[in-house]
Amino acid sequence: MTRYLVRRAVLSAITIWVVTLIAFVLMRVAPGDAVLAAMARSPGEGALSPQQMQERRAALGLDRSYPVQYFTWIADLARLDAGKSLVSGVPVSEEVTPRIAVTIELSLLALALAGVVGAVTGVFAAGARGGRFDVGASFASMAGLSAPAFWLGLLVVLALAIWADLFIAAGYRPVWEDPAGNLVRMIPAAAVLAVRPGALIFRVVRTATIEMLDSDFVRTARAKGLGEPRILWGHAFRASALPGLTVLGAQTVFLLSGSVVIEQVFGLPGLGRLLTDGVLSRDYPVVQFLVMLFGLFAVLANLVVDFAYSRLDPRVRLAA
Amino acid sequence: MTFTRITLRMAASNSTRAGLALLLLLAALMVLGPLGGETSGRGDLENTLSSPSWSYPMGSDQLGRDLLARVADGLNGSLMVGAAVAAISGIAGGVLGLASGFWRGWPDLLLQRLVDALMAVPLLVLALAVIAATGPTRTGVVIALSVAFTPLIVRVSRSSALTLRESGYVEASWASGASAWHIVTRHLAPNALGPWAVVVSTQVGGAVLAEASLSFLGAGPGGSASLGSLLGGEAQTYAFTAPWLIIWPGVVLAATSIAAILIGDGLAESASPLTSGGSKTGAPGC
Repeated sequence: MTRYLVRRAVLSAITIWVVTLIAFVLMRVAPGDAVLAAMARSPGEGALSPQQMQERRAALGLDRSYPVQYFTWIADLARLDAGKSLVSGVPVSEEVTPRIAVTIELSLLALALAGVVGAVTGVFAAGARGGRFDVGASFASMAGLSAPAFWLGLLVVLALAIWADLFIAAGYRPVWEDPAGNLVRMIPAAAVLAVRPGALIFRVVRTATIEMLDSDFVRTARAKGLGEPRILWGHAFRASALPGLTVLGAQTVFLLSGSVVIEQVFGLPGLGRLLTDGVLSRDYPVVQFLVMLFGLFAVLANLVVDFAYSRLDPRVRLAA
Repeated sequence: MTFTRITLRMAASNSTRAGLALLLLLAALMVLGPLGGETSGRGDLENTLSSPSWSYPMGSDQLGRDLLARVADGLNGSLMVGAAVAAISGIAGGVLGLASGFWRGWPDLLLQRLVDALMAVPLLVLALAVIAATGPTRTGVVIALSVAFTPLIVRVSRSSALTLRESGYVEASWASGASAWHIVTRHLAPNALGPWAVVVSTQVGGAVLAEASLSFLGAGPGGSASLGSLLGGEAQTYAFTAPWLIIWPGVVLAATSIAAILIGDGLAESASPLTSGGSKTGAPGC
């Protein structure tokens, strides 16, 4: 068990390290550098003389060799200094901190919604296989898998504005200031984000539960005279929760990806907006840091799922 | 499982038929769409934001341009990107995966760490980061999505190669003095084709959706060059008075993704011997 976790932790650390390399290299292969990008962004300032450009590069540390730049970046990161935004001049950490909560809250809400709704409907559909509910839910899951999340989001924003007179874009409220106002704005976004992972979990849990209902231990339970609900929830579902958990783990990376677009649709000031703006304005320090941060979130989420999995399924521990 | 047998079984599968029918419908839209709108491209300021009618089957936009023609144009662009990404990542991922799974050693080790890292970064985040380097053009989007989609294909092909290299006929081939090149091209590649084709076909749909997301965010080519850019920017401003502006491009986008899923499902059923008799636990309609 300990050996398994140590192995996983070491692999995750290596992955994160490679992610920092990727983020660094990507921002260096870009044509032109940060100084040129800043010049292109504000033509009003007038062209800088080669002398001035050299000075700016020196100020940003861009005149040093790539390995030195990389190690400076990592060393600064270790001191929680992620550099300054090229656009606003504000430290990247100050741009990121207020936005982390939005993205994490959105992802966690979506994860909870997808897990609970997907698993419960999956078990119900399996219990009444071939019935009206099963067919309807299976069809809905198919639709949920193919509809682009951001388009669903646009439709939801439109529908809320037309029928509920509720302009979601009216602004974000931090959860610690106005919990109700926060949830009213977050839940539609989280629900839209949860559609795809929820549909996947539904399909996996339904299939696994049906398989379990045909298995020997369920027949034994029936023979003992247990009631159907007890068999469905106490036996079949417990055994099919594991594949559901696997999907949930794999979908956390998707959720982080989806939140980038969903934040834009619902006007939530999260990390996704910061990333998009950073990419469009070529704000390299911001993009570089966010790529690393998103990678870190995804790796940590997978680590948590692996841990939960090894606690739930003893075979995983033995295999390691 | 030979390629011909997979093709034959695919032709018999319902998912494939439904997917191909949908694809034909989309192709018809793509070809016929631009013909009807006499104002396509230029716009007609006397007929702005008109609701769907005979002259504007999908309505018109804020400049009076025929939405049907724009959607057809966008679908064309989206499919081009999807096909290009699937081709690039399919070939690059297939070759890298087979080679690293067959020869192993330190190049394999390095490649796998790179694949781990690329797959750890959420798809759109990775694609956006690449676009920060390439610039928001169609080529940039294709490069970004190819980088983001290749790792999964590497992983799938590599695991095929890992299993196949231990198989009896590969051992027999070694014993009869075949070269490594012969074994990779004649034994590994044909047998790894099934799982590879399944992943690549599902990635066409994934790439179309991802491209739409990127264009929607403004990180792709603008105008009507993609279904995603039709949904972003101006369309949202006018959506309250002209909901068709965001409904139609989305419907076509969803249809494209459904077609890709159905064809991928058909391919998966046909390529896997386990599901040949039809899965007893499969969800209805799948």
